[in-house]
Amino acid sequence: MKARDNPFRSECLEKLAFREPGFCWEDLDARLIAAGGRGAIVGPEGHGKTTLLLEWRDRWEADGWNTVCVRTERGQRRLGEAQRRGLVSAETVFADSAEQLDWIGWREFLALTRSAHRVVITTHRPGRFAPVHVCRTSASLLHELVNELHVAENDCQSLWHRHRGNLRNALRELYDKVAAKG
Amino acid sequence: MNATITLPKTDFAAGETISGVVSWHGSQDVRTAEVRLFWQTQGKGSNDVGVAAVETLDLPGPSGQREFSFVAPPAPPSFSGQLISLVWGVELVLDPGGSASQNIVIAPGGKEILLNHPEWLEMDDPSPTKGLQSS
Repeated sequence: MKARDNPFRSECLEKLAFREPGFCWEDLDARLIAAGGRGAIVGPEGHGKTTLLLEWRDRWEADGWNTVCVRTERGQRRLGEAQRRGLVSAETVFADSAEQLDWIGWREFLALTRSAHRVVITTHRPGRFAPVHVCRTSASLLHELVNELHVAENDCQSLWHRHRGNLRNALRELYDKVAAKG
Repeated sequence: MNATITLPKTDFAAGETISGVVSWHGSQDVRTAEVRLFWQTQGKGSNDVGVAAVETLDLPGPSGQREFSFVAPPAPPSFSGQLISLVWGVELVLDPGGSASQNIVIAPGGKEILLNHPEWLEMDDPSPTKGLQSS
């Protein structure tokens, strides 16, 4: 199968909306306000933190807020110059993988976002901001996502266990499986 | 906003002219409109995107129809393997109003290169050092 026809290509995965049983945007907003406008989306890799962060950002943007989204790459301990400049006048800040920043990088981030109305980060472990949402996955969630991609897959239970709940890796395995079938 | 791209053909070789018509109509007054010739990768990893050419349309307004033309660049060619495809496209971007796009092929003979094609898999060792040996 050609990569561009694979139903698990990244372009299709990025279109899958965040979902969790019982999830409610209004509750999430309320928890952020209760936490003083500073909050963390917490969860292991492949559990939907970035998807939730970006959708939240889009909602704030649609409401007319000046939003800035920064992503710290694996091993990036400090913010880059362009990232620092972008944060200075931001009203709402969304920072992905904030746990990558070291102590100085984190203090710098806090100083730059001091006047921001809202600041949301994603992180693997709680600690930097109060958790406003803990991302969880399940085999049935994986099954739902696979169904949305119009693929029949009966192995979601073992796939989800094999990847310890990491949906990104589970969907990548399905990409390979479909590609190998030709 | 209803936006469409009409291309008489979708397979091109490098140097050929890619021409067509874009049209749009809606209730919003479109401030800027561009037709872009672009490529993007699709597959397992993150996507790369490149814009090869842009044609800006003057005074777009709430509805309109314009012709466009580009010359198909020599590289990168359209190709597909199991892990990655490189796809060319023509895109109409309206602000406000959204966008429309149409995939095309730009490759030798107007045929997408298939990396798992037997012709490639059975190819002899191309001897990369041939002709590069120092005297």
